[in-house]
This record gives sequence, C-alpha cells and structure tokens, in this order.
Amino acid sequence: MRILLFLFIALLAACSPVSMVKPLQKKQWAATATVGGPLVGFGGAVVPVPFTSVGAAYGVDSVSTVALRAHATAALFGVAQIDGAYLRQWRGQEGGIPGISTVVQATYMVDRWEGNSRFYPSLDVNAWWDVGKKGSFIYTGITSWYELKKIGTADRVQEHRWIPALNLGFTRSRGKWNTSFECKYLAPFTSHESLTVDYKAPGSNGAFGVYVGFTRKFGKP
Amino acid sequence: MKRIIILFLVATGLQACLRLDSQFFNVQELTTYELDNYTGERELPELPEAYDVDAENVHLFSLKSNDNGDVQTIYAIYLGDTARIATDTVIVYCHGNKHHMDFYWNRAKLMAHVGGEHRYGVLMMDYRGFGMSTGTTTESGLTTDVNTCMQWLKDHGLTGDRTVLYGYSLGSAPATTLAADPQSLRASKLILEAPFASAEVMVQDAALAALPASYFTDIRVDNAEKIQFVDQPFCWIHGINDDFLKIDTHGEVVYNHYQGSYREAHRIPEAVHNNVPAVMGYGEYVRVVGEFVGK
Repeated sequence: MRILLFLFIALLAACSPVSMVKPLQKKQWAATATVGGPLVGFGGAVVPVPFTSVGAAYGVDSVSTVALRAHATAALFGVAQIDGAYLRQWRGQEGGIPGISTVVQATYMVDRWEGNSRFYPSLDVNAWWDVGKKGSFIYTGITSWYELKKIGTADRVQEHRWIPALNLGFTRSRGKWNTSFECKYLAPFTSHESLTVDYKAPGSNGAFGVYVGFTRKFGKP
Repeated sequence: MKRIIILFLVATGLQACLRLDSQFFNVQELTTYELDNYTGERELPELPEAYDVDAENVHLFSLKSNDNGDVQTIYAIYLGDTARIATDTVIVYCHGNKHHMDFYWNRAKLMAHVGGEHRYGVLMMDYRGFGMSTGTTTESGLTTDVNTCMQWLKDHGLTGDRTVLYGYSLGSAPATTLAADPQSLRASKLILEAPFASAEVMVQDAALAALPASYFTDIRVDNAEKIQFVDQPFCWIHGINDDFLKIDTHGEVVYNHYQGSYREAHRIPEAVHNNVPAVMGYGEYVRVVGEFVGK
C-alpha cells in the first residue's frame, strides 16, 4: 500500500540540491538552478522526486563563496525553504591530489499553514579533480544534515540525528555556464525496508538520488 | 543581477497552495455492490466458505450524512438481524483506506462470525467518496459518516454498552475519535487493528527527520493524541512485520498512549499490514476478537 502523498515526503538530505564544490572567483556573481531528488518506486516505475531550487552565489574572495537558495517545489506546497551557505576552499588540486572544500549550510523552513518552522545545519566536505582545460571537474564528497530535535512527534525519541549522503558528480564548464550531474546515495546507513516511501537503492539501505544543476556566472572577475 | 533578484523573489514568494490531502484517500467508485460476487481485488481472498453469511442477514442501505453542511449519501451494510439490534451487541467496523466495502467484504464476514455466526451484529460503511457513497473524502467526514451509522443503530434501539468500535488501519481514525469523543453513542469497547499513530508519524518515518505534517497535508489522523482520552477497554492487534504502518512507530505509540482502564495487545509475528487475520488463522483471530468483545 503506497500512496502518492509519500512520493513527495523524501529523506531530508534529499532536499540538498547539487553540491557547491568550487568557489567562484572574487566578486563574481552566479545564478543557480537545480532539479532532482531520490529515486522512488511509484505505479510500477522508478522516478526521481522533483525537488527544485533556484539561488544566487557570490565570490567573497578567491577561496570563499556565499550562496542563498530557495526551494521552489517546497514553495508550491506552501513551505518557504531557504538555504544560506558558505563555501571555503582549503586547497586547490595539486597533481593527483584533489582540491578540498567545505560548505557550511543553514536551512530554514516555515509553512504558511500553521507557521511550523524547522532549522537544519549541514556540512559538506568535497574533493575534486579537474578534467580538461575548460574548467570541468569531477567531484565526490559527503553531505551531513543534522536533526536538532531530540524528540519527534508523539513523544518518540528522534532516532536519526545525523543524516548523511554520499555525492559523486561531474561539472561541465563552458564559458559562463556550468552544468552539473550528480548522484547521491542518501542515508546509506539506514534501512529503507521499513520506511513508508518505496526508496530505490541497491541493497536494503538508503536511497539513490539523481540531480542536475545549472550555473550561470556573471561579471568579469 | 536585477534579473537574478527578481527570479529569487518570485521563487521565494511562490507561496502557492498545493496540498496532498486529496491524494491521501485511496477511493474507488462503484455503481453497485457485489459482495460475494465481486471479482476485483479484495482483502483476505482465501476466506473459507465456513465464513459465508446467509443473504437474509445482509442488509445494504443508505443514509444521509451531514458533515458541517456537506450532506452526502452514505452506504452501509448491516450483517445480522436488524430486528435484534435493540438487544444485540453490535460491532461497528470501520474499514481501511482502500476502494470500498466490496474490497473489505471478507473482513466483514469474519466479523459476523465473532462469537459464532451472527452472535453479534456487524455494521460496515463506505465513507464518503468510497464505493457508492457520494462526495469527497475528508478527515472530518470519516468521523461524521461513522457517527451517522451509529445514530442509525441508536434509532434501532442500540445502546452504548452494547456497541463495540473496530477500526482497521485508516478506520482507526474515526473509531478512536468516536471512542474518545462520543457523539450519538458511547461505545463500550474499542478494537484497533494496525492503527495509524498520526499523519505526522508517517511523515517523520518517511523523511527520517522531525518534519511537521503541515508541510504536506492538513490531515492529522492523530490517534496517538486521541487515544489518551479513551477510557473504554482497548484491544490492539498489529502485525510485527507491518510494512506500511510500522508496529513500533505507529501501533506501539497508540498502545502506550492509552491511559484507560484495560488494554490488551496482540503482536502478530510474520504478519504485515493487511493479512493479520490470515496469519493468525481465521479461527484464532475470531476467537481473540470474540473474547475481548465478550469480556
């Protein structure tokens, strides 16, 4: 027994769109849009939940970028979901040693129906390797969402306080445009067999997600 | 840059009003009830002939049900002798969230054998939007429609001390609501099979995080809260391997929130959401329900 309602209630970590991996250049602006979500079984087919987001990013300096995102799918359901993120590059790629960056993110959600709000911090750690000479790169990393509530509804102890996702992606860079393709393995340490949503992943844990992101850079850095 | 800001504001300001409530209810419209002759999908399809009921003890009827001005025609089936409602004990059977009474017909027949064939009367209804019942299903409509049927029983002489509410899956919502906050009749006992704890538990089970149900739906189905106001004796039955409403996050929560005078639990090994009677064995299931009703 599966009902459409739960097609749209996805793992929290699935709300995280395509990863920010490399910083913009100093004083550079960018607009971003992402679509994608975890794969779920529905009506005999496997489909990704269509989470979408749009946002803007700004290069504070050559190693730091700040970003603000709004989640459009959530907004359609009357939920304002906003992310604020700070990316810091710790080192660039040197030979086969990848570049390393982290993203600290704060997500705030509030619904228009009852004013229920939630706040979720998250931390990404990413490594990347450049591909070719036009700025394209492959990357991998881990996203960690943190549930701050210790007690869930009906006085239940909140079992999942750390909700991780493993990311693997490729960003194709052409001029002002970047296009990213990313796979996530969401909640890989949690069994999906007893979850209400029919998540799809090899084995009995977590869910696979597929995401696409578009970035348009502006200005002359 | 201006375009980016406009795009951003449009997105964040897109406070539209999509709700998933209408997707919650798994209804199917019927033009007629076929009961034993129904050839579509149904629960407990292998029910033995020993649980058949005589046609003269099957009474299909309709009622007008008024949910805050939304008047709909509700169809119900009474199994038993309607002339004995004034003296019989009656089980008000609130079915689950699928299709219609034809789908649950075998479950109703099982109920008609609790304590022996037609030992107790059984009333099952299709909530508004299910089967031939008209209208659109709503959470409040579920309760109103069950209460309308209980009023019909009261009009035929039933009293609260001879009324037992049985809620299966979604049916746990109106059954618990009417046990906690009686309207036409105050039922003397409550039986819940595979009950919801709440819509919010379903959301949090799916999301892993403590997200509010209000992000997705206006439906509450908050049995975990309402069961605290039930003081009638309570029997809970749940499949340990329930793959839809998990026993630990739904059933146990409801059971543990009960604060009334008497409760009993039946955790059924190997059973999933919709096959508890079959896994228990029909005879054992009927015996367990009958013992509780007869207490």
